[in-house]
Amino acid sequence: MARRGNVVLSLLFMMLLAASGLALLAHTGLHFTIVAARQQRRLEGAALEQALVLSLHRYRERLAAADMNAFPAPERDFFNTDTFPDAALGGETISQRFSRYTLRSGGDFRVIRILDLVRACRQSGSRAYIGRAGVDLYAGDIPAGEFGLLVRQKSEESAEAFLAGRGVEYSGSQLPQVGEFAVGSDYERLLRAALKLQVPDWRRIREKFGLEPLDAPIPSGIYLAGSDGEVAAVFVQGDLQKLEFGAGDGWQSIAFNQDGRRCELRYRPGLPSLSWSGSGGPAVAGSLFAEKIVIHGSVWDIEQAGAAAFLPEARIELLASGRLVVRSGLEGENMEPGMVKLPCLLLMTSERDLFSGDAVNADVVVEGAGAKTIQAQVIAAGTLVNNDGRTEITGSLFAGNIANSGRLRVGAAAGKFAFGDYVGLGDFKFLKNFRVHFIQEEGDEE
Amino acid sequence: MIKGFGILEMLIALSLGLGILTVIIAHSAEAAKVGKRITGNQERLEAIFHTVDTIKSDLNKCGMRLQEARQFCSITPFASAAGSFTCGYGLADELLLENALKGQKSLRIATNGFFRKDKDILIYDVARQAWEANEIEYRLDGVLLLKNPLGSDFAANSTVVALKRVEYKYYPAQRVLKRKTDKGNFQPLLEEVSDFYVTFFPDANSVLYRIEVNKKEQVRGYVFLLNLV
Repeated sequence: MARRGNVVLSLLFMMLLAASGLALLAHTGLHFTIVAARQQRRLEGAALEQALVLSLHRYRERLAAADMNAFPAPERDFFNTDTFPDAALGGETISQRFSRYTLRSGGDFRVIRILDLVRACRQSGSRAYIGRAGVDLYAGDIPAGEFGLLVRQKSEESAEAFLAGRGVEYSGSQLPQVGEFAVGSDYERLLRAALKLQVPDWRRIREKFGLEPLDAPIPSGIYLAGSDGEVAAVFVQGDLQKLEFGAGDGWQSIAFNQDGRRCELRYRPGLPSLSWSGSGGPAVAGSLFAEKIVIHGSVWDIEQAGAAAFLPEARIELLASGRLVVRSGLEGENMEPGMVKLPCLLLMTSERDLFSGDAVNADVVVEGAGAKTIQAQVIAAGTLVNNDGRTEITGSLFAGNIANSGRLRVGAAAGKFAFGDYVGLGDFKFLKNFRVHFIQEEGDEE
Repeated sequence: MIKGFGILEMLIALSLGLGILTVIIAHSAEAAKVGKRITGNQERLEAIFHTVDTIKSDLNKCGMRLQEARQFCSITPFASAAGSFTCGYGLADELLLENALKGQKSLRIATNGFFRKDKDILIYDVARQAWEANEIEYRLDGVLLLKNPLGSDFAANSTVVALKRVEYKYYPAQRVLKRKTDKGNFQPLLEEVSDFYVTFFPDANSVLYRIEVNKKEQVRGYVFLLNLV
C-alpha cells in the first residue's frame, strides 16, 4: 500500500491551531463577559444610588410639607412604616426604618432626633445601597432662638413658596416655618434677669443706677448695671445714633454714640477685663461683662469698626424696643471659607415699649447696597427689611415678616443667646436640621 | 510500491513549510508586540480608571457622618497642598449608652466592628457643643478603652464616630501617585504619573483634580463635596 505524506503531523498542526483558536475565543469571551459584568455592576450601582437619592429627596419634601402639630406624638404617629411603607421605584425596592432618641430635654421642651435608615435594593439580587437621614423634632414651649427660620405671617402658600417669592435663600437642612403663629413673650422677666432687679420699674432702675428714686423715666444716657465685679448689662435710655462693634488683639469693643457723645466699652469675653470710657468707668474697671445690651429706643446705625466686628468667643445680646438699622457687614475674626459662621450677636426687637407697653416699630433693617455678611441671629418682632443689598444672615431668623428688595440668605446656624428664651411659641412642634448622614453601598464601609 | 515522499516532493514541502513557518513566526512576533502594547495600554487605562474611581469614592465620602459635628468642632475634613490632599470621614457612628465623665478612659456603645484597636474617634455632644478626639486602646465588646482620659463630660446619647483619614501624595521623582489610609504606609496607586494637582474651592465645596500619565493621557475631575455642604 502506497503511503503519501504523514497525516499525523497535519492533524497535530490542525489541533494546535484549533486549540489556540479556541483558547483565544474563550479568553476574548471571558474578557467581554468580565467587561459586561463590570459595566452592569456600575449601572446597577448607579441606579440604586439614584433611587436612594430620589427617595431621600421625596422624604425631605414630605417632611417640609407635613405639619407636626397635627400629631399628638409625631415621633410615633408620623415617623413609622405606615406613613412610609416599602415602595417600588422602577426596578428598585425602597424601605425605610425609623429609630429615635432624645437629644435634649429640659425646661418645657424636648428635642427628639429621628433617624431614617433607607435601603434601596434590586427586586432580584442581593446588592443594596443604604443611606441615613436625621431630623430633629422639637416639641413643647419652644424659645425663639431654637427656630432656624420662622416667619409669623399668614400664608396660603407653602413655607418654601412663601420664602422663594420673597427671594429668601436658606440651607437645605432647614425646614422653614411660615404661618400665623401665636407668639408669647415676657420682656419683664427678661429685664429682671438682665438688670438683676426684682421688679424692673423706673424707681428701682433709678436706684440701681444711683439716681434720685422717682417713678419718672431716667434721663437719656448709657448706664452700666454692675455689681459684685460683674456688669450684667448696658442699659441705654433713648435712641442711639450709632453702635459700632470692633475686635482685635483679643479685645472686643462696643462703641455707643448718643447725642454727639461717644462712649466705648472694651473687654475680653469671659474674663474680668472690662474698661469703660463713659462716666463711672473706674468703678467698673476690670469687671466681667455679661455681654447684654438693652436699649429703650432705636439704634439708627449699627456698623462694624475695623477689620472684624467680633471675637470668635463673643456672644453679644442686643434688645431694643424700637428699630435696629444695620448699615454694614458684621463679621467675626474667624471667617475662613468653609467654616461655619456661628452668630456672635443677637439682634432682637420688642414690638412694645419695655415700660409703657405702647406699640412701637420693631423692624430690623439692613441698609446699603453691596454684599454684606451679618454674623448674627435675628429675633424681630416687626419685619426684617433688606434694602437692595446682597445680605447673608449667618444665624437663625425669627421675624414678623420679611420685606426683601435685594438678595437675602439665612444661614440659620444655631446661636446660644439667653434673651431668645423669653420669646417663643407655646405647645408647638416642628422639624429642623434635616441631614443626610451617609449614602453608601451596603457592606462597603471600609 | 512506492512508500513515503519523493525527494522532490520533500524539498517542495520543506520549502513551502519553511516559508509558511517564517511568515507565521514573523506574524506571531508582530502580533505579540502589538498585543503587549495593547495590553499595556489597557492595563494603564484600568489603573487610571481604578485611581479615578478611588479618588471619587474617597471625595464622595469626605465629611460623611461629620456634618453635624463640623458646626462646632474645629475639624477640617478636606485639606490640600501642592501634589497632595487629605480627606476624612466617619466610618461608623454609635451613640453613647451611658454618661461618660471627665477623666474616664472608657466609653460604652453598641458593639460595632468598625470601632477597633488604634482607631481614631470623635466624641461630641450637640446639646452642650462639647467634643474631643481620642483613640481606641482596645475594645471589649461594646466598651471602648481609650488611650487618653476624656477632657470633658459627655452625656448618654452623645455621638461617637470612628474616623477614617485618606491621604494622597504625588512623588515626582518616582513618578508615582500614592495613597495612605489612617496610620498605614503610602501604597502606590498609579505609576508613570507625570503631573498631579488638586485645587479646592471652599466656597463651592468642590475639588478639581488633574492626573497626567506619561505626559500623554490627562484625566480631570470636578467633584462636589456633598457632605461638606
